[in-house]
Amino acid sequence: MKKGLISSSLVLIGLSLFGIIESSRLERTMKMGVGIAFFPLTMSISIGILSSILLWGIIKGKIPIKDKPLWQAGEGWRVLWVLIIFGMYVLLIEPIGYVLATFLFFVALVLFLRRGQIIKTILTSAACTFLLYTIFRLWLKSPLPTSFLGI
Amino acid sequence: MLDHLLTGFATVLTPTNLLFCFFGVTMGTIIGVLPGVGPVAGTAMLVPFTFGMNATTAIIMLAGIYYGAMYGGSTTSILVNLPGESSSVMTCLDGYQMARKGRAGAALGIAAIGSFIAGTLSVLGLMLLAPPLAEFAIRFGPPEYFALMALGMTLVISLVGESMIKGLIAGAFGILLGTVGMDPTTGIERFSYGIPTLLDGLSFVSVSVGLFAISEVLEMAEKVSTPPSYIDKISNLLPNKEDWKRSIFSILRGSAIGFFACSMPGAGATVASMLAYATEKKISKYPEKFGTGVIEGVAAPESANNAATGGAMIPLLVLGVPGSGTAAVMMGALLIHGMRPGPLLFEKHPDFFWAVTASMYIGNIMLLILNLPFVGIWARMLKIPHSILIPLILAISTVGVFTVNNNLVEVWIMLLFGIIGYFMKKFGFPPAPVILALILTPLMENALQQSLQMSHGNFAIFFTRPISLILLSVAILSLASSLIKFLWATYKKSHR
Repeated sequence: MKKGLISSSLVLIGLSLFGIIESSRLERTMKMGVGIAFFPLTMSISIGILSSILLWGIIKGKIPIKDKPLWQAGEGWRVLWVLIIFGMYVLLIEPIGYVLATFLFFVALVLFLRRGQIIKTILTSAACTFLLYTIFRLWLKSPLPTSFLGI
Repeated sequence: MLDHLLTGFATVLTPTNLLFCFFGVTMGTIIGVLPGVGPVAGTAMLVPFTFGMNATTAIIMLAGIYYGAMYGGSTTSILVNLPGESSSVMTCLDGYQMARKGRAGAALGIAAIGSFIAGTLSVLGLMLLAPPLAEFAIRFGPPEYFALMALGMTLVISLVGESMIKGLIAGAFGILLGTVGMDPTTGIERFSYGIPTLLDGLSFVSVSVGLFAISEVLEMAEKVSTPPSYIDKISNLLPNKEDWKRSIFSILRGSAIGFFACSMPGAGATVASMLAYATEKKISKYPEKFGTGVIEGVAAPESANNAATGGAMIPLLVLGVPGSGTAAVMMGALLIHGMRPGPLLFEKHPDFFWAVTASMYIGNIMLLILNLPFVGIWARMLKIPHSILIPLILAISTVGVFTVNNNLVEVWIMLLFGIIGYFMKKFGFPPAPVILALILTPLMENALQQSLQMSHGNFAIFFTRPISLILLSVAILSLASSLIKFLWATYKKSHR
């Protein structure tokens, strides 16, 4: 956990530097008042100072850190796979349409999370896809991405 | 006032509003029952459902989700010893012990009845306190608004989360995110990098669904889920005479604590329920029995977390400053529907305020009916495996966020903030200040610019007007006291 917190503090310091550079590029068009760079600049500086204090506190042991690893065995991989499957779903939703993409997403994710039971998974996925399509498209009339098949 | 309330009831008692009030409280109960899906995530996920509705119907539904989740949270606390959401943690202590002793029915009954009484009393409090407060707040100009928003933000930042410094970083990060898009005064674009979706700023729906719902789903995905075993022998839902005698004052005290604690930004329903439990234990004749299954230990925290919802509506609707994550999401939804919460809301849309208030009375009655005879159905919800729940939440979130602007950039933004939210939780950074700051920053920046235009660029305007001076002083004091506490704790630790 300590390494993770140190990394997060460093990321925040990086964000602060990025914010400071980008804010200083903004035009100062306002003659009166604080100008459009005031909020982003002060907040970037604040993030930098606070993250540095946090980093110092972690390194010096002045900030309590939970004595447990970030992930137990296999937890990180499960999260990564869920993210990959979800990312694929978002990529495919426009080319193949909402209905097919959602069905495939359900099948892939349910199979990943609950190994085996293929028939049950396919039926559950079809039912969930139908339910979501009914709610969003037929009831709420939400515009959903459609493929060449029209669904 | 009575005339207004009757008009409010007339608005709510239309088939559409009744239907969405019912839908809201039902969804709220489900969200409350399901561990891992909190009211903030649930409300954020369902905001896109309201896009086709008028503002009144939308807020009736969203408020229903908010207070419905408080009712639902008690069911899992009592039957499984697993709080459905954080404000039900205290209910586990005595509720589960009562269930183990065969008194699950009485615990669920007093939780539902206590919630109903507290919910109704808090709506009464809202009704009585909101109009005079709005009348006072109508005198506020841009400097006072700026000071008020700064106060709301500092209170939330200094009270939420485990570490003040992490809360401050989260708040500053939220303000930075709030500056993305066109500047509210000059129209000059900032940090949009040619992405048209970012010109209007980051959509609060994408960010809040990512930070709250997606991050919770990722946490859920870490472990192989096994449906929890729960106590399914539920009988005698109506408390007996002895239970009533022991609980009634706990319910009233819990209601008062919950309502007043949450009428100030910062202290959410969780803090209110903890305060109510601690108070009951302190004044009890048998404090040693708390934690072994005493009915007051269920009645007080459950009443407090329900009364908190009415209390939270005061800063949100009257002052335009949300006091918690859920209230921030509701404020975002109001802004989407073209309603600016604040004292002018009473002047411009009194019908809206009274309809929402009336809907809370009706919603509480619906919840009492839903939660007493049908408690077994809600308990069965726990059997839904995570393998179904995870793709369902992801798919609903995707469609919801897609409908914001009908483009997938919003979905990618949601996914990005889902990952950010997941790591924020891992490292103990509270996500609520981010969303609060994201929503308030454009309004705050606008108020700051207007104030400085009024004073020809002189910052003294904030310190020469009494109301803004008081509000800013309290904001600085709250921040300074938290900072001193943090530094003192660090000093003590290093000299131990």
